[in-house]
Amino acid sequence: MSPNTTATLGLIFLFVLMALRMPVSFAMILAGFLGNAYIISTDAAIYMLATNVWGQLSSYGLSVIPMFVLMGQFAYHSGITERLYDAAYKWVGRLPGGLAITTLLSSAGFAAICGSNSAATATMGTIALPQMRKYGYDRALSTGTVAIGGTLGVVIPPSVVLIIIAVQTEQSITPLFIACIVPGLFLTLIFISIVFWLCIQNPNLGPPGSKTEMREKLISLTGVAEAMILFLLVIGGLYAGWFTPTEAGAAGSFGALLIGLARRKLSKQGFAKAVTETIRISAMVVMLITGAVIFGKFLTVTRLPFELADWAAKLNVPREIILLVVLLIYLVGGCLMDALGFLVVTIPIFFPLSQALGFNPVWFTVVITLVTTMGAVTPPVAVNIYIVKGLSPGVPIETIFRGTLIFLIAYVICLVLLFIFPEMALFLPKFLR
Amino acid sequence: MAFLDWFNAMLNRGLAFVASLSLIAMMLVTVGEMVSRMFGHPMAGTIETTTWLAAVTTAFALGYTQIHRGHVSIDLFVNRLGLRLRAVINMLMYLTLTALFMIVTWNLFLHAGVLRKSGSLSETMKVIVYPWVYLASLGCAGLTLALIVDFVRSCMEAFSRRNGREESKFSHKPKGDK
Repeated sequence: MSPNTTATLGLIFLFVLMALRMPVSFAMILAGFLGNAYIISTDAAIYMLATNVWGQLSSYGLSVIPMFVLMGQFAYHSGITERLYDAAYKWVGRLPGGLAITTLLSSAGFAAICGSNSAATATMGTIALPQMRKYGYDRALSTGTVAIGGTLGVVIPPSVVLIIIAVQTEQSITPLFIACIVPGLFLTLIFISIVFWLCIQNPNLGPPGSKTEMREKLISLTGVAEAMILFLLVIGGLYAGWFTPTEAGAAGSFGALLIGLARRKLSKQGFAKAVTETIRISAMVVMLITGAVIFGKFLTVTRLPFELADWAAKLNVPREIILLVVLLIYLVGGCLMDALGFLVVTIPIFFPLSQALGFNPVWFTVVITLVTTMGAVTPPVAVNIYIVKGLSPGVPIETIFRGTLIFLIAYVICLVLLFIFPEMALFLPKFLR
Repeated sequence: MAFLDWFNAMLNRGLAFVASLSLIAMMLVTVGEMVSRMFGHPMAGTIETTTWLAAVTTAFALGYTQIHRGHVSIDLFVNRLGLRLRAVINMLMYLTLTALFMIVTWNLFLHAGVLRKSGSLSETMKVIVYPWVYLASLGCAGLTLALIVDFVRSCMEAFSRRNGREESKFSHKPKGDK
């Protein structure tokens, strides 16, 4: 059997295992191990298995993951999110759809200190959904806002997805973080514009809230200040070269812990929950990367990614068309399976392809991050939608999908602009270099 | 089965507790080094210490994550099947995964032995590395045990006399966090 046929069969085998509900990370380890055993030898495959597992578990590059997850968890359990929400409400609550806009602004604020999609959705949903229910907000608008706001957790740095892509493609994490700032803020702005437009068209969707005194508004800014300090400490420290990414995450975690203790908001139970959630998420992510490394080595031995890249580079088709096909694959894949899992599986194939086609690696990373993030709200597998459904059991899932759908326009606009003006992502990393 | 369940829960809870301590130690060591660096006294070997603590944090949480169904999987297709067929698929899957992680555990153990015999030392602090590899092997053993328990449970589900109309009494629902 030719190496390319073996690689193709390996990929089919991997997708069958995943379809049978085998955890994605374990499926990649198994398929990669068996593939290596077939292509090289069983002894070599066993040796590679043990050394790769140890290599990833003890990788300094991956030690950044628990630190950033811990920062988000401490921030959540320290009540930073509530204070962000309160501040945003005092400033924009009076506008039509004020609570929905508040939700989006505080989602963006929380995203700046938390790198996870699901954590951002669950956190904001817990706070925002009861409020919007209380003020008679339309159910599709309220649930849709929470679900789409959660996706900002991945787009606005720090982001676990960006860290994973950086580790897999051996890129520096810092430029990726910086490159996502403008698209993240732009998305937030379009989300807010959509809510505003919807509520102007039909005021019943989101009635404006009560007036707030300027003094209250100014006092509420202390709630934003602590999140801003954490964000500036982490991202600023990274760019100034004070910290490695792991140190930035550790400094952010320690800062969030100190805020929680100083405010007397972090209980013993909250602390324990933050730590156990962190070890769980970290184990899941590190195993995903371990699986991707083992499966990626199998693909590398077969040379499939490189031959695919060579083949695509020689095609008499504009490279943008090939990229669109790749993005379509990511979009469909993100709909059918967990977006993070799909990303990890396909990066070893499509990243070399993008490089052979001459796309900027930072720009490509931003684009695929946006496309796969859409997978968190597109049916049938849509993690954010299910989290929102769990938080508001009375709302039919179709209503949540309907409420989220209109916000996908923002992603499409952002992607089109990124294609036309790649500098939208690349300007800031170049400027701050 | 009750003993196996109890032992699995106790072992993986204990490992998760150590993983939690290791996580906090990782944060404190990293912040401590940054502070002492600010005062002109960098601590040598912090990166090595962080990587070992990261290895313990992740490896010791593997079984706990499995017990809480924390590893990402796709429910889309299997959820359309009957309960008994699902249980049979689970049984085969957990059997395969148990074998896979037995290989991983055993070979990590052997790898630690090789490092011990060769007297391999870390680059900066010049201390032995192999104990950390043994610990990683122990973490993988915790995951293997969790998979064995899942395998036994799915066997009981597959061979129970109930037909697939209702959730079997053996169906596993993780306790604690949602």
